[in-house]
Amino acid sequence: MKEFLLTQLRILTRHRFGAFGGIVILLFGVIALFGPVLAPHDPWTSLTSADGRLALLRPPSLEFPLGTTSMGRDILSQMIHATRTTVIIGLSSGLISIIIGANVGLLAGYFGGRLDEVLMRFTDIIYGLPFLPFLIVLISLFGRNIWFVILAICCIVWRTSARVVRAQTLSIRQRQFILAARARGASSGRIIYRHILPNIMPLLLLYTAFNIAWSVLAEAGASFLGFSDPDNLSWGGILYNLWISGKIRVAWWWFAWPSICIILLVSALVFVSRAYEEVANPRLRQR
Amino acid sequence: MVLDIKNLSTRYHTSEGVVRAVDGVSLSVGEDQVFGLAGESGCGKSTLIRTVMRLLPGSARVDADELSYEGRDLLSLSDGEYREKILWKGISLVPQSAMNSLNPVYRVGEQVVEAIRAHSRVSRREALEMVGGLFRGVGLQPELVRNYPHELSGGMRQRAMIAMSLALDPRLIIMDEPTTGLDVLVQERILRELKEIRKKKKNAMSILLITHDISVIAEMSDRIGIMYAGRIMEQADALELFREPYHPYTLGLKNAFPSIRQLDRELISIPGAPPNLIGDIPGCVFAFRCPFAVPKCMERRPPDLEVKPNHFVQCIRTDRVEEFRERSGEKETWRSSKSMN
Amino acid sequence: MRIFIIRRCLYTLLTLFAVATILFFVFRMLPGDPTAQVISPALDEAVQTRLKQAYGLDKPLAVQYAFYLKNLVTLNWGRSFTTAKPVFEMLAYRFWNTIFLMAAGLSFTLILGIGMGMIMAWRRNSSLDVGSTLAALVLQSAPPFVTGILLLMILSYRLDLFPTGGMLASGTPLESGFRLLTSGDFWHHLVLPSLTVSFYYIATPMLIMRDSMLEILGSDFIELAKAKGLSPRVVMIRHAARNALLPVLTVTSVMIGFAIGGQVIVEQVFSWPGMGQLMVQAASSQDYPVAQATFFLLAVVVILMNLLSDLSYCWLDPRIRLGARA
Repeated sequence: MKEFLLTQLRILTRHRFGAFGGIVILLFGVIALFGPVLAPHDPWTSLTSADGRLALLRPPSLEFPLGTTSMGRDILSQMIHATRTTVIIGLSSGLISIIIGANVGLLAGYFGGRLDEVLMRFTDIIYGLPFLPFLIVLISLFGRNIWFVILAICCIVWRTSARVVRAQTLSIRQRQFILAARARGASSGRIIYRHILPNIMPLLLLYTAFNIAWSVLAEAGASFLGFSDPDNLSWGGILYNLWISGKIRVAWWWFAWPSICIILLVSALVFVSRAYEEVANPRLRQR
Repeated sequence: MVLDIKNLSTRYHTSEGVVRAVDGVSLSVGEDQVFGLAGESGCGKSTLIRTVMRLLPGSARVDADELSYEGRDLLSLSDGEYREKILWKGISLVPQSAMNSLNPVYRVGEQVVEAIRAHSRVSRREALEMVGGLFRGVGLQPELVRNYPHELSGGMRQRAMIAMSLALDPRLIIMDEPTTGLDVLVQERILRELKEIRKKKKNAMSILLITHDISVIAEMSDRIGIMYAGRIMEQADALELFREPYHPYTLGLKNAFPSIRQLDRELISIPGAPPNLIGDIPGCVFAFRCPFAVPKCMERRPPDLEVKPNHFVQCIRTDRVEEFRERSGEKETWRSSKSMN
Repeated sequence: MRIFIIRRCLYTLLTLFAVATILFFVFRMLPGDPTAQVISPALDEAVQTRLKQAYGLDKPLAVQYAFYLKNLVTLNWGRSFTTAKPVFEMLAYRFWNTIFLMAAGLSFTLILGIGMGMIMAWRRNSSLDVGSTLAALVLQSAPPFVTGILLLMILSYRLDLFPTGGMLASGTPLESGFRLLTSGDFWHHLVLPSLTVSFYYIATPMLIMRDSMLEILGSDFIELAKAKGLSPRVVMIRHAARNALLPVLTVTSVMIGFAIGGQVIVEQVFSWPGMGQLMVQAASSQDYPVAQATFFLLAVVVILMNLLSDLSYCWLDPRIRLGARA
């Protein structure tokens, strides 16, 4: 396990952007873990400022570093809590979907034949479903709950990694060491999970990063349209509140911080995945 | 002189150093002459071609005492002038992998028409007719102009490339490994047809034929140059070179090819590999592989010696050539890559 | 190739059918009364019972499924819970609005994305190349509402160059269909939303075109094209780009599917009266017939675009069209 982590570290630091991405992700992770304890205010309380008035729509100041909302809530505290929500959703969806996708891809690619046909047709059908609309439909039907959101996202996001893993599996399957393992009488399960899987690790990590990124974007989109858990505020949710308040014209700070964070986190994930891409596809390495 | 090259050097500036791909090459291709340039891969043939055709990447630097086509200096021409007057019109090219040199998404006829119309004001229909005639001239059915490259066999594509190179009636055609990748029968046919084409042409046409295949060189060339590690080791009229080779490298090459006359002669290959072209190589480039080298060989670069009229050799030991010729036929001579005396 | 086309079309039908089925079951899995998706619970009890019989909702599932498919195909998509208007009419109005927006966004993406990708490859590692790559990366990481609102804030609120939303100036009588195309006001309103739609996925064709061009530029036939004395522009466009386009177009199909999600958001941000906006409204107010039908229509668009893209690739690459020989 330690070796695994060390290898990951080496991969990330080799690529300048990968390192930057890794740091950003780590930062958000730390905020997600410890932030809410350190947040200066409760994200839901309307606050009064030092001069005694309700702190409605205050631009960033010493008192409220990121400003306040139209209801007088501290945006910094909201952002910290929302980070946790966003990270949980992104991470959960990303990880679950890569597990689904990887398995579908591995099984389809390794066994081929009927199983492959069935699995790939199913994947094609999932590809026919537009992502965000489907999310919206599911969430509106089953309720605005953080776990439903994660479930709904997982239903779709796995599709890309399934196809890619299948392609990789098909090519690895022909390789000598796999044929040797089969000749030795190794069971299929063993071959798939002990032999093929380790070889597609860089690809899997690459797509884990992508899946998390897409989950974050999808969740942000759904939340912005109002399809999120009202008890668990996310960055998209903050922007939803901004949008329905109608104060978009004046409250640039309310818009800026969640947007910047979304962009930062998603690009960080993309950078990290680029770093893995160079490992997975040596052709792209810097000469 | 159709092509005059004097002391041409092309250097690539890479992150690992300066690669002297072509290092002080001099040769001349006369009118209606086939000049065969022989050499193993990596000797700088491709760079030489690219230098003449101005297809070098940005990192390349060229300098020469002379590089001229029909007396016109090529180095001072702008890119635009080059494209207008020299490329394809004056000098055309049959590239190494003719298979891959045709754009897969356009019909072969179209691609030849493109070359024609880039340099002359003919209508598309006229151009297509010309192409049909050209195809016939290389032994292809004119209907094939409407085909896509992937629909033709390797040999047919090669002929199409040759037809394209003839389209503007250039004075000089550079042929880079024209028979590589083709099976021997097709090779033989194409070479024969090339000779026919040359005979049938009313205007004189010279060919700069570049290949590692000595048999092809032998069959086609009027004059031969032997290239190694960016330099021309020996240069002479074809018959003379075969009758009286001087350079140890030439001697080694002769032995590496099977001869139909001496069926049971053992093939002797030259041990070792061509040198790394990065940085300056003092002395003779072949020295460390040459069985006849002496320490003096590595000191200074041997000058171009005219051992016979129009027969040039870059070697300082030409006085012992008779002896070398004999010894090069023996296997033990080439056993080690160290100098023997 | 004929067989290929037929097979692809049949395949598309199968996918449509499967999506419809998924929709059927998903909406059935509503917590509570499964019939609530067709008949508004707000109606009088007796009316509900009558409607249930009329719709065959008291029949077994298989029969309901058959009814469902029949209704879907015959364009009998029920009535809205909120407006009681036939769903199909509502959608018919909004359908073209979405299509125009999508088409505008797509055109812009393809033209700018492919063009930039081509130039970036031609001027590799220049500041243009690096800058554009960075810009593409940022755009790809920004949800469409961020880009949209940003454009609004700068070009509309601040500089007042463009309207803040809607498809036509408020007060204009609502129009639909192709008559819109003649209205200058329409085009004025179209600019910002279509830019937003386009920026959402412009990174992909741009970067793929760049990678594809770089690979092609190393090809032998490019070298020959240069040797023929063709001008750099002809080489870049006629020879390099034409070949480099092929991989880009295969991605187009995936892109469209991806983009529909973005479209929904853009319509919301710009109050564009399209299918996306309708879907969000319907889903929020639990107007299930509308939500279901709108989703299905969106899915149909995605699936048909996939088919179109596959077929066009086939047409563009003569090796596939005529069957590559060894």
